[in-house]
Amino acid sequence: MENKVIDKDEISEEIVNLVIARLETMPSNVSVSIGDTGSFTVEELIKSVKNRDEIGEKIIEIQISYLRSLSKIQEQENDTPNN
Amino acid sequence: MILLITRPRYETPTHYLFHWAEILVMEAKKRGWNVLDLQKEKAKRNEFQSYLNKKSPDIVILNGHGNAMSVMGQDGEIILSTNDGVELLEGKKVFIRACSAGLSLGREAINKGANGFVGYIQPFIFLTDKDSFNKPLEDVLAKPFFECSNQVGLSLIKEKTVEESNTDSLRKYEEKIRELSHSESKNSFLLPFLVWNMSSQVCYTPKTNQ
Repeated sequence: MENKVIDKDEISEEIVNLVIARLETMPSNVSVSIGDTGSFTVEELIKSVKNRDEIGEKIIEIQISYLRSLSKIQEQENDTPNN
Repeated sequence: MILLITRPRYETPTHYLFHWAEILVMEAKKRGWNVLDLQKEKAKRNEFQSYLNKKSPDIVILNGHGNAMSVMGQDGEIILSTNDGVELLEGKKVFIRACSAGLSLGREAINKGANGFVGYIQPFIFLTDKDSFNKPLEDVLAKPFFECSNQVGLSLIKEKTVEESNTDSLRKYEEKIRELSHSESKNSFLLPFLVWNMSSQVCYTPKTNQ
């Protein structure tokens, strides 16, 4: 797996809303530590994603990379011939 | 055999790194290693580079904040960078658990003769349970992140090669990802972050750097 750089302009409102919806499923006791930028609550992450600031962009990148890795696995499974 | 490890502790991320890295210290001691444990105020540039120079450790493990070019010790002091001390890593197996040090510092370590390097080319991310701050080793949200990354150090301490240690760690990631992907898992929201760290982990050796 590889973390692909995602162009900010490529990301539609729909994707941003999808990321927010995913973050909203996280419990409120969770804190996310992102290097030396700090530790963030779920609420703060959602705000950052909405504002499209540096942290928000990183969270979008992480979630999109994960969803892409899932779709790759699905493609590989579909390509595998049945024995 | 000698292990040199840094464990700064001055805010939440380093508090977690400090405690989870203690598992590596304990394992090394259990196996009879001489452990040079530079914790808290001892995780400073002069002390670290002096030990690196004079004690000639077999394994060097750094925990802390970092960026492409450098790694920090206590209170954010730069203890190692591409233009300060990297040549002291010659002949050593190196694991840097810090953000992005795999981008330049890891490559430079190999160029300067390090035996191997494992690190990250993106920010190292982990989740915690705010209610578990005082018991970081019992924090079920942090556990997968630190168990997977700790595996690099544990395998190195078992005298495996840098490549084998990286492979063991990636296997641990796969195992945790499978567990969290189970439909009954309550913590599947950890998956994107765990996959992120796994994808960001790199392993360089003199062979791969050619």
